[in-house]
Amino acid sequence: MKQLRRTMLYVPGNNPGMINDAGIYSADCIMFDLEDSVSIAEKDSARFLVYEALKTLDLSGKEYLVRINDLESGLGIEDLEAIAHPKGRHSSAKDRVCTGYTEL
Amino acid sequence: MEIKKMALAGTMESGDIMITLEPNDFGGLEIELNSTVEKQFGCEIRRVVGETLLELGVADARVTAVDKGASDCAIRARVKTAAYRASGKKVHGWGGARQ
Repeated sequence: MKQLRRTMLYVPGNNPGMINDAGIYSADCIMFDLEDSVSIAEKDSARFLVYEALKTLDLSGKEYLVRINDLESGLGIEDLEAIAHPKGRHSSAKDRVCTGYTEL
Repeated sequence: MEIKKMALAGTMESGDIMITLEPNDFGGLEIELNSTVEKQFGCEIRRVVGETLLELGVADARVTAVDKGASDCAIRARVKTAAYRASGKKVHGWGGARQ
């Protein structure tokens, strides 16, 4: 799919009002942020909100991204498991990322 | 899932809902709703809260919801957050939001 990436709208992952309105600004990409814009006490809450939003919102015609936490913080792995579907019967997203991460 | 302690999720901002979950000694689900759009969507909000809790296997809880016009996905997310916080459990098998 050929799509322009001129503008990217960062949306705090723990604000449902902003998540609902993100699509109306005609940005080329929309990024749900689970990292800097979410306080440490609300990481679980933001993860659930972005997870539900990705399952519910109409994402057609736009590029959506999720900015996850650092993998070394212990939060990033769970973020990844929430947003990405593991491919392959025996591999989880966690296994694949951990493998890739140790290879870096 | 058992509700072991009181837990809270969400904010009082516009477009959000604040959910408080407490153990219910008398058994069953008790939902107390205070919403700016209660007359229009009260039944729907109660249904989404109840369904989400049943999905998680929560049968006994007292729920206090202060709604400021939250969407269904926000209600589900806040109820799930409050339930996991109240039970002290971690989420297993997310499965991924996007297939």
